[in-house]
Amino acid sequence: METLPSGNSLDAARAGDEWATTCLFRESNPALLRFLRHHAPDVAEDLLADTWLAAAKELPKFQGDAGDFRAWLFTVARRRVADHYRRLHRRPSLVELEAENLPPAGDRPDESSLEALSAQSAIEALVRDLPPDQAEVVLLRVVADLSVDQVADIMGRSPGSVRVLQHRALRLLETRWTRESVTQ
Amino acid sequence: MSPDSFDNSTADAFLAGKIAAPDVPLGYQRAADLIRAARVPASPSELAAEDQVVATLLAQVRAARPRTAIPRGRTLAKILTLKGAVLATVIFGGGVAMAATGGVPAHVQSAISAGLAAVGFAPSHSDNPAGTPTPPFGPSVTTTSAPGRAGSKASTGGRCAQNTITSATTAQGVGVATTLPASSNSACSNPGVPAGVPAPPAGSTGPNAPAPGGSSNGAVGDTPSPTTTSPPKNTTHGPPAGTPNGPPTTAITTATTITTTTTPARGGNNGNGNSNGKGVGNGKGNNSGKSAASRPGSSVANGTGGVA
Repeated sequence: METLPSGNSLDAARAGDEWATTCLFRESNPALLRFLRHHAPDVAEDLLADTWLAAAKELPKFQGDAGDFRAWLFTVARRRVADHYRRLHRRPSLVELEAENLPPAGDRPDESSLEALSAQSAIEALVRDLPPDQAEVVLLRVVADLSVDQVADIMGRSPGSVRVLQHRALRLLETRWTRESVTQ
Repeated sequence: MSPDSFDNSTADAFLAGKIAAPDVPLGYQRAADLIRAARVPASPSELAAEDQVVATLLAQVRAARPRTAIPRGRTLAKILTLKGAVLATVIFGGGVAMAATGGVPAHVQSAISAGLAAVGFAPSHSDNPAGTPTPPFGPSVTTTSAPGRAGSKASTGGRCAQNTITSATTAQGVGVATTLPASSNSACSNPGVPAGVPAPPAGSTGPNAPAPGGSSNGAVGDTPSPTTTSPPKNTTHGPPAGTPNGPPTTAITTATTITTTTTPARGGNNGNGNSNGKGVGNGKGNNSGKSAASRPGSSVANGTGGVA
């Protein structure tokens, strides 16, 4: 997983340093794209561009450290997703994964299959059976690599509520795969 | 590690993919694998738009830097300039207002007047005779006061400064008018002027404006010209027509001299120290305006045709 932008690189990016800006992009863009592909696979690239445009306007005056900036990026991304579905007048649909990217049901992927499994397919397999709020917590914790407090801020919940959702998600994952193993 | 043994720190480590595979609790192996797969480094396709995004970020950052830095300084400078202007206006205006209303003690007033006169600015004094009601202060600065006998409306109804600082008292009539009549009623504001009195020609009372026919304001007898139509610094009033002129009794005043002459005029006089009314001794004199009189020693009338 990408490392968080360091404070120095964020400061340098704010000052207009090209190298630091490139690092900032490389460290944040893959996670953003995976997050957006989960929520709006058809327009993920467009929403990603909108997110970066917003980031470009905000970056010169952004106050905070690298973690705050990363959390802010995902906050903007979520808003773009919400705006997108508001325009469509419909609720977000579950990601329709292509059949070839789905891990075989009931099979525990071995190392070779994991190698072949794309990051996006792994994300979808991880959260596909979770309720939306639990899936969102897992996404923000795993993909965006945010802390409980940051996820709580983004989702408008208390940290305790986020921890409860996280725990329930883990229990649900354990139950699902345990049952699948038994049925095999 | 049992599934229920996930405390906060363990859950955080699990979701961060930091728990080694052998330590993953039973039943969570697949989840751990997916988490690790979800956190793999970026593929080239996920960085395809790097150049465009980085260029956009840099452009925005570099464009935003001057906008955030320079306008603050400009705004601050504007604010400071505005504050300074307002402060200066308040101080100066307040001082003028105090001087106008007589709020300044006499000795302070004299000192200020002397100082201002030294630099070429000659404000009027506002010392009123005791018991004299103070009408609204006129805009005049030239305040040679000498209550005339006939043309006394200006001096009685209006507010005439008695301590005169002549700043615009040069008579430049055609005649040889070398002195100003002491009894001139210049610079009197005349709130008691009857309405409907025609205003003098605009050009006749302005600073350095020639008085056509030698008459600036004095064509109308006994009717003082309303000072409201006069320029602030050189208000002149015509003497009553046909009024005999008093002899020029006083004084060649300079801008630096505070003349406190209160010589009563025997005749109607010129009405103004610097006006040259028709039939009055100053004849065709022109108002030379403040600019001429403001120079020390320049208040000599240079008339050529009038009779002083």
